[in-house]
Amino acid sequence: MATQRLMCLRPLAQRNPIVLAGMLVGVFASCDYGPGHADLEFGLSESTMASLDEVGLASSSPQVSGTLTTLFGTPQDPHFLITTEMLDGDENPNLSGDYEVSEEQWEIIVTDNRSRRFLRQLDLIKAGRYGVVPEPLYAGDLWAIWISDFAPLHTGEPAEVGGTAVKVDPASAFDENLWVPGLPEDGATWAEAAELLFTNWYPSLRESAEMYRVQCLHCHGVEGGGDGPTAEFLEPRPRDYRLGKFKWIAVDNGKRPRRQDLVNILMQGSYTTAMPSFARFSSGQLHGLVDYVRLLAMRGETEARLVLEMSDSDSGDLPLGTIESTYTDVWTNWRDADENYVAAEVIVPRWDQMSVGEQMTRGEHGRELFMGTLANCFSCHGVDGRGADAPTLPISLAEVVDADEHEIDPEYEARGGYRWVEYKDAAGHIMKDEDGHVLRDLYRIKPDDWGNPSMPRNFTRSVFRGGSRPIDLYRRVKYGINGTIMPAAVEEISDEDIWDLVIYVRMLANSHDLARVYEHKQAALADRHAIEHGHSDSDDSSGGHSDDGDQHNDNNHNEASGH
Amino acid sequence: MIMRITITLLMVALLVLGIVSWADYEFWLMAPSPSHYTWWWPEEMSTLGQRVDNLFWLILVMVTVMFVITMGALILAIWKFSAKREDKAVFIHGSHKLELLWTAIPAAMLLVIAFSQMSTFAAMQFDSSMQDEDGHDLPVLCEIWGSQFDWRFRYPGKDGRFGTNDDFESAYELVMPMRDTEKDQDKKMVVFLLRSRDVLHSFFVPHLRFKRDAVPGMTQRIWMAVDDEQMAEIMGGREDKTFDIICAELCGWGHYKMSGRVRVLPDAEYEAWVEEMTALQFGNS
Repeated sequence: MATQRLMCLRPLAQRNPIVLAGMLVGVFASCDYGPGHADLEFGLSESTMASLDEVGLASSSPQVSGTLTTLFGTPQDPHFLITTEMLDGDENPNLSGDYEVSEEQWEIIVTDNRSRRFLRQLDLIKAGRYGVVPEPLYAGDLWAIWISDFAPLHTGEPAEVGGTAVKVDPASAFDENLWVPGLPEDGATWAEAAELLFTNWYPSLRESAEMYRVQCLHCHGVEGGGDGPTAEFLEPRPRDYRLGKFKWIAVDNGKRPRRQDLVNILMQGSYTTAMPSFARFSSGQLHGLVDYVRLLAMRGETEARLVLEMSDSDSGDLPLGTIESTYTDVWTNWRDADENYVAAEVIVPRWDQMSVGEQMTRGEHGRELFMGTLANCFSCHGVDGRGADAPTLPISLAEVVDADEHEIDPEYEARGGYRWVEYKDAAGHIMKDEDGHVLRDLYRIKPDDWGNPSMPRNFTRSVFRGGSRPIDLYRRVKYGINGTIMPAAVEEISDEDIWDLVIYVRMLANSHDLARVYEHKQAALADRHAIEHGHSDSDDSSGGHSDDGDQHNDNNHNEASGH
Repeated sequence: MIMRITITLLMVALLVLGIVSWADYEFWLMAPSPSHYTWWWPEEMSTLGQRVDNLFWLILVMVTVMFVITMGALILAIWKFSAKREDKAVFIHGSHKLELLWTAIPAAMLLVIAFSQMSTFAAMQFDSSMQDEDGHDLPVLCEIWGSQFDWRFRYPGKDGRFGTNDDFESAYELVMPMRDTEKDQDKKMVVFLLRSRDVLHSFFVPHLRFKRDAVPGMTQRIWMAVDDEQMAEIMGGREDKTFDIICAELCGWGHYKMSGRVRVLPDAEYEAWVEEMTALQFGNS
């Protein structure tokens, strides 16, 4: 709009540089910079609205959102409602960092605060230059304490700075939902108190929400629905937390992730997706983000379950008892996630110390399992292990739909959700009917729980999103991948078998490894150099395009790694 | 008249910008250690760093002098010879002498730059600089992968070969040995493979004065070397002895997220780190 209005000045601007400059300033000033934090609010998910509509309760949606606000707060002030059960158990989910973070983790948090997060602030405090301590990012509550409670330090007279012993009153320093550990004993100096304030910082939910807004929201959305403004440009799509399901976890299939699982993903990222490593932030910040993500996930789960309760009840009302039991149940599942930790006792075979012969034998056994009907891996990952990228559609990956009746979802189609498969005769020629039409079937790729088309991993790309360590692959095979069509292994498959499978998968990945191909090529070039003008045809295949970094050139890799 | 006002405004704006950035720089200087937060280059601690900096200064001085002279002449000319609206334009043929002059001077400057950078460029760039005395390629420490939007480092593990089961990955943090057993600075080089998984990235380590584009489909052998004495001097007092990696090529919407850090360890500590990572690789946590 503003741009159009400014355009009438164009003839003038062509003559007058000042008008031109003014126009440019006008255009930039009228840019939409998006909503600030103040405008954000939690909405209800599409599926909630749909299911309310279905039972004729669309008008009750304010009741649901009001309940959720009471339980989980707003994006500006997120918090858990404290129930009597939590009070009895002496647990406050708003301060879950207090009792859930292990001693070792806590040490890392403090070290990070000291050496990275608040390095500058602490250096200035140690140097006695309190007045110029700069405000840290995403630490609004901490900064409020510093401004109010520590005012004598940075505004006060020199006499008060340094040696004067003061009593810091914890009650004034934080409200009940704010975590300020390790406040100094009575009689500590201001300087000591200030140092402790920064070194022992652990983010409040408010501070983490602010960080989430800047760092995560544009993909994961306000409610954690995986529907932020960037999301539609990404493949795979960002995780929707609201189902409470996370893929890269070390717990039983279908269970809630541990705090550590989520921290690991933040540290490592999910390779080749748009989820990068966030290791540049301090450990405390990451734990804070996990707290907030858990809040969003619990909010989403509670939402879905409340709607279910509402549709089931005759009156369409939400009794207080139902709300409380649902809320407590959801929270308990998350609190007890550590109890479902799996494969902690498993002994990982040391392949690096295993002979090549043994590796080959075990890999061969793994291959048999891969192709067998018990483990049934090939039915999705394809006989060559290329999964969704396989030239022929793996048999269990998709279902035939009636091309005439089925209404094709264009978005699902654009994301590779449909495939035509032609009939071929024994000679490999595409078959046609009497009228010359190609005989073919339409297949719909099975969706996962989030509605994305399933994309079984292509092992030859040598990339594993949930980690490439043996134990990571073991967990994927043994316990499946949460929310996807990758199932847990059946009981008949022993642990030993699973390790053989893992070895085979690693063999598929290793044999296509780009660095390995590159080394082969370098060695071949060196050989050729040594032979000089001799019979150079012996290593012809080594030249050319073998080190193509692009993932899609798998054919080239095959040829190049074949020698 | 309008032209004159515009020029005056432009110059005032430049002056204000200069003062603001100077003041901001002063503000950053209030930090306890300027090297942490400075707008300028951080101190260099690579074996090639001094040579890179010398080139940087040479070019910066040359360019600045030329900029001031040419812009000064331009502004002076506009100011002094600006015509009134009713004046007619006059055709002049030009000056051969002047043309020769402004061709010869830049050419000479370019030649100075070209010749002065040659040896440094060769040392940085050419494969032959990554060979030992017998002409064998130096072993690769790790693979550096750029992908939207993080840096990831894959080490060949204890067997020194890629594509085997003891390879391990490190997201975000590049750990490299100091080669402190080598007294000879030329032997401190550590070789890497640089790759991109999707689009153009640029691997930039300001402290080591190293920057190279990661090109999809291309495998590049690169090297970096840390001057350990220089490093001890700069990093000695710091608790966190890491320094930054950034992506210096706009690679998409998440470009700003694409950072990493380098941790340089004494040789013995590096070996211990490899042990630790191998244990983690075969661990069950």
